[in-house]
Amino acid sequence: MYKEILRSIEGIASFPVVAILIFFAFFVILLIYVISLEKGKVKHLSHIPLERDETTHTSTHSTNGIQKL
Amino acid sequence: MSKHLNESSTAHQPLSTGLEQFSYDNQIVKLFAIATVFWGVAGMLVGLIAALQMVIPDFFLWDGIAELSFGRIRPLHTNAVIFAFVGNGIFMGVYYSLQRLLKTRMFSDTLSFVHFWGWQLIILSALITLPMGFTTGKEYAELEWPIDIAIALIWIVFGLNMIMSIVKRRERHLYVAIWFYLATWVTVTVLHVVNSLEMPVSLFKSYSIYAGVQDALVQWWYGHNAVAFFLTTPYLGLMYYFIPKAAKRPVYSYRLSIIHFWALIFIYIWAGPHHLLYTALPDWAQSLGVVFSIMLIAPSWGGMLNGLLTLRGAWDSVRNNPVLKFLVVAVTAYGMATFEGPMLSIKSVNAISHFTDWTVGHVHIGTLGWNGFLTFGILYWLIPKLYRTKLHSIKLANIHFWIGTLGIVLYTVPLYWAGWTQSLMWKEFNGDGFLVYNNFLDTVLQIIPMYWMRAIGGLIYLLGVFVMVYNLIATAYQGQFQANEPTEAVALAPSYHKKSGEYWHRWIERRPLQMLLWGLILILIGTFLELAPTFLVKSNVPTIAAVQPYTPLELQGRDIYIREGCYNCHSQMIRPFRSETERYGEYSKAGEFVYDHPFQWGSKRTGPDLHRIGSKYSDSWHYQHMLDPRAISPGSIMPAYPWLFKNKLDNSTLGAKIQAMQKLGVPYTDNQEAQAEQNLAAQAQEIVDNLKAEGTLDDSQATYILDKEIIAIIAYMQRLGTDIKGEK
Repeated sequence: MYKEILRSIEGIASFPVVAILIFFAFFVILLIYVISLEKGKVKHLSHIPLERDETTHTSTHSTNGIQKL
Repeated sequence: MSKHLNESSTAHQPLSTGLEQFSYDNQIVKLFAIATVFWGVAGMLVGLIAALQMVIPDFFLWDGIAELSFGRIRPLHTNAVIFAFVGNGIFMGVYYSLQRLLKTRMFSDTLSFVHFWGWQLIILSALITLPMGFTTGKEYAELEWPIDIAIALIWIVFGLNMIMSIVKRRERHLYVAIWFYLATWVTVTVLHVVNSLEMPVSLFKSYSIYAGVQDALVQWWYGHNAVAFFLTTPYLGLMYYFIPKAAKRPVYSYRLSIIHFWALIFIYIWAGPHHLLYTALPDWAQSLGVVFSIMLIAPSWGGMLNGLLTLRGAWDSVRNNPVLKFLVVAVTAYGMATFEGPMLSIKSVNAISHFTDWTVGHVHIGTLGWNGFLTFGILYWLIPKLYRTKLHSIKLANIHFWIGTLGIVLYTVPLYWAGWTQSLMWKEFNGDGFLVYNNFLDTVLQIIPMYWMRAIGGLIYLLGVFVMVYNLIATAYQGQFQANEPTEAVALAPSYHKKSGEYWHRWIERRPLQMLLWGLILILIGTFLELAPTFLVKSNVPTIAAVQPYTPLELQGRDIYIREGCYNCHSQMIRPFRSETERYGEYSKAGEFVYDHPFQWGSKRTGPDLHRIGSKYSDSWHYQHMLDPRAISPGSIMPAYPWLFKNKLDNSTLGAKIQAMQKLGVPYTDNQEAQAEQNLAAQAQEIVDNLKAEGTLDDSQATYILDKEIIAIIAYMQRLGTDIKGEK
């Protein structure tokens, strides 16, 4: 029964194609963006929750280790 | 107003002009913290009662009391622990972290006040209405329409407060936790509105605008995304704040957090159909649910790894710090549950697990482990901070940790055992091709010991919570609460000067409202693509011709079935397996449910499936079984329903009900509506005549019972599944 319902919708075959294209494009672009982030920027962002004396001002404070990614 | 300045601001040299002094609102955080603990204890206590009701169903404390029957208590438990315990936990964590991540006080103290008290009033209304049987009959969305409206209003208050705080912020960049909060807010709004669309009949009764398969799909799109966007995303946000705070180190990989955030919110939306595998839901929707559920492992484990690896090289601090212990086990439980979930979404695994206690065990790994332990970890960190003291007893916190962990294990492992045992018993055939365990009750009796263990596990978990309550109260008493925590931060520069070479993606980070919009669009893509096809149908879609709307008496009976929460223990969905068709009859077809507003497929078989119970047993059997299940089925754990034999069937809303159904597209004729009461009386008389003929009632009993609710329930039971002629 559902085959008939789906068939009666115009252009239904393009739904999954559109979906996968949107999905793929979005995440490829996101991946490029994330990889291209500057290290300093990443450090600043990841330190936002921490107390001020553990922010980027005092970069000698290195118990946090080096950001790998 | 306290004279003590926040430590961090005295240590910090003021930068330049533009440094603004303000204070963080800790009062609202404290209020939400108290509510979290209070409702946590209450919700878990109700859970313990529910667990005990499954092993001593006729215990004097609840036997024969409608408001305390399992079918009403179970939704009270689920709503309490999800919306009252975790809900307040979310707000506690969000209100604390958001202010500090944005370096601003909440936008409006008034909105905070309204949010808090509004939410508690909603909880109170649930506490009153659910035991009274005012329910929509849809899991985790049982609250009736006036309360739904209240939820929407308070949710908007919360959103306004949060979004305007973001607008007012002094930290330009939105830390990942805030994205999780925003995604939570947007998606819960959509989920709540769409799934709660109902046609009211009276002040506390409504019918879902969706029916049958459509309702099932909407319900589980909602239900799984309630897990995703109420139990997961806000808590991931809290994880991203509180683990770095407790460990005093930044999150392992900020880049990973960006990727897994977007992947999570996009993929999660599609996973809902994994609750409907091997049901009458169309195959394409089931497959989508399976595939996306498996893909979900990646972003979920991204979050888990990020949380755990934040502690790389600092694991010895976990040994000494109960806060970190709770947070680490919480994240580990999250990893477990988000691996188990996708496994359960595989059709062949689901064929075994669906309707069993394995699902319940899985749920509680997530709720006790992830939600519970993360909440406890945050509370142990937060309360000393708010009261500017040390935790009263680290030793007791560690004891809580071990008690709680033991509780989780004793809760879930017996249920895994029970789930497998029962499922395999359901499916066991002998050499001649007949079911070995023909009597469903035998499969229940086999797992009663596991149910006892589970109750003990839950009790142990709750005892751990009591230890925490004592510890936190003692901490509060020895400390000095600071309602407004003074701090200072530089105001945002009025215009942002683009640094040369800045990548063009940077602009969305600085534009939270656009971010909100894009997040909304992403989750709507999944929503639309899954839900739209089932709605783009012509109204003259061929249905099963033999399927007719319920008669007035059957409709009343169905509404009593919903009121009593029968769906909590009984399914109405026979899967296309030989073990099910042998036991229950022809498997359930989509077309049979077209007039079911709401659907009642159920998620669990504590008792047998009822979809084809019609004409299987005599009217007398149902009469005696509802009055005292154990008289008919010795050892049964079903509660007794004596009040159905005393309550008069209320037909005052019968006309309104039929009209509501007509508006929803159920083809009652106007003549049928006019004749409803007579039709009902005639059908009731037939049933009573049967009961007399079968020797169950004498004449005076028959006259007495004619207008009682039990007759309506019997009518509904006898109707179920009889529209199509099966092979049996």
